[in-house]
Amino acid sequence: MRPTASALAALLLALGLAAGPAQAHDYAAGALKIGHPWSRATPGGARVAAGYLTVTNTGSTPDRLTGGSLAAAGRTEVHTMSVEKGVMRMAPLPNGLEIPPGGTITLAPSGHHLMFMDLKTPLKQGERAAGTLTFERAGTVPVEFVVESIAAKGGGQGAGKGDKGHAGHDHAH
Amino acid sequence: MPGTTMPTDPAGPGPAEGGAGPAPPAPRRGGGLILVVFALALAAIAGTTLALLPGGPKPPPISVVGGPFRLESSKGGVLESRTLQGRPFLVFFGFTQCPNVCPTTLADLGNLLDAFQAEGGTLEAYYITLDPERDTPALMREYMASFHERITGLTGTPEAIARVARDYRVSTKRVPLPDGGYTMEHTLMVYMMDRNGGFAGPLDLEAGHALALKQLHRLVSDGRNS
Repeated sequence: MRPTASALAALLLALGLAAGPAQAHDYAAGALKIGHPWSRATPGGARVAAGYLTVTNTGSTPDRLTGGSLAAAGRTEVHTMSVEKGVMRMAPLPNGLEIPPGGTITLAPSGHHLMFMDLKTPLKQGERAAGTLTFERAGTVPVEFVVESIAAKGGGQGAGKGDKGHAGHDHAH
Repeated sequence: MPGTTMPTDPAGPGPAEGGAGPAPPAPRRGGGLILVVFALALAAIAGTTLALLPGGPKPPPISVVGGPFRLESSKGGVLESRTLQGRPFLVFFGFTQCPNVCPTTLADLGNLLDAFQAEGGTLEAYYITLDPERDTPALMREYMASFHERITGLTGTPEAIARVARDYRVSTKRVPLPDGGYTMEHTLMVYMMDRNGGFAGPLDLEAGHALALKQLHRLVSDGRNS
């Protein structure tokens, strides 16, 4: 499955057709598998950004994502977002997210996410923003967040419908 | 009102922490939502009643969602809603320190407005911040430059923002963060407003652009024909 997806992505890149999500990338930290950390390009003057990824625990001991960092941001918290009857709700998760043995947590635009605050420099589409993820047991893991379009909603797995076309008018740059 | 600060729930959104599925925190604002639903129902009844009236001098617009505003524009100067008289428009609410939904909605709406223009339509949209303390006119100008030129950012005094949020029946709340600062919860709806400044219904961006474009065309032609 994964090699096929990578091959397809490589082919699309080679053909110059990879207008949608950037190529998926993964990390491992002990028993944890970290899938495709990504963020999106920030509008001019924006002071916040969000980080998304998946973490799978292949081991037999629970771990916990407690936070992270982004070189471009002053601080990072784990938050959750939900939409209830048309109202967007936000809540910090000060204890982070548990990753049970065999379990996967998903940080995605419609739910849990890393909230990068006090952004010092904008995130630009196509760059890879250096950062870290912090786990209770696995410790601090350096990762790169792939910066996708300002309209990106879906990450590497299956393009969100906002990913197509020219997303946003980047007059600021 | 937007300035309302609620203490952090000490129990936290506990059930949301463990698994992969996001479990939304317990609803606390049913009353407000019921009010909105009630208000929308009233608007529908009022609209139907008006539609059934025989011709003659047009009665003044009756709408319980929406109202006049006078706010600072990201394009410079002050925008008064009465200058919009005769033209339908879109309104939605958010804030610049919004990581998820606001920028994607702005980008999505920009693409929709492009498509609408390609089909000969013209429509202005207004993005009103619910965080006037941080979203200064200068910041709004910089932020909105990243989006479609037909989306104008609006900010104002906390009182002016509170008034427009109340008139539009916006549900909003500050959520304090553990290490200081706050984020905001708010209504996501994109409001379609008719040429008289009356609420014409929510724009549905989730069902795909084809349907949304139909909604926009209807909004604009209703403004011309009625």
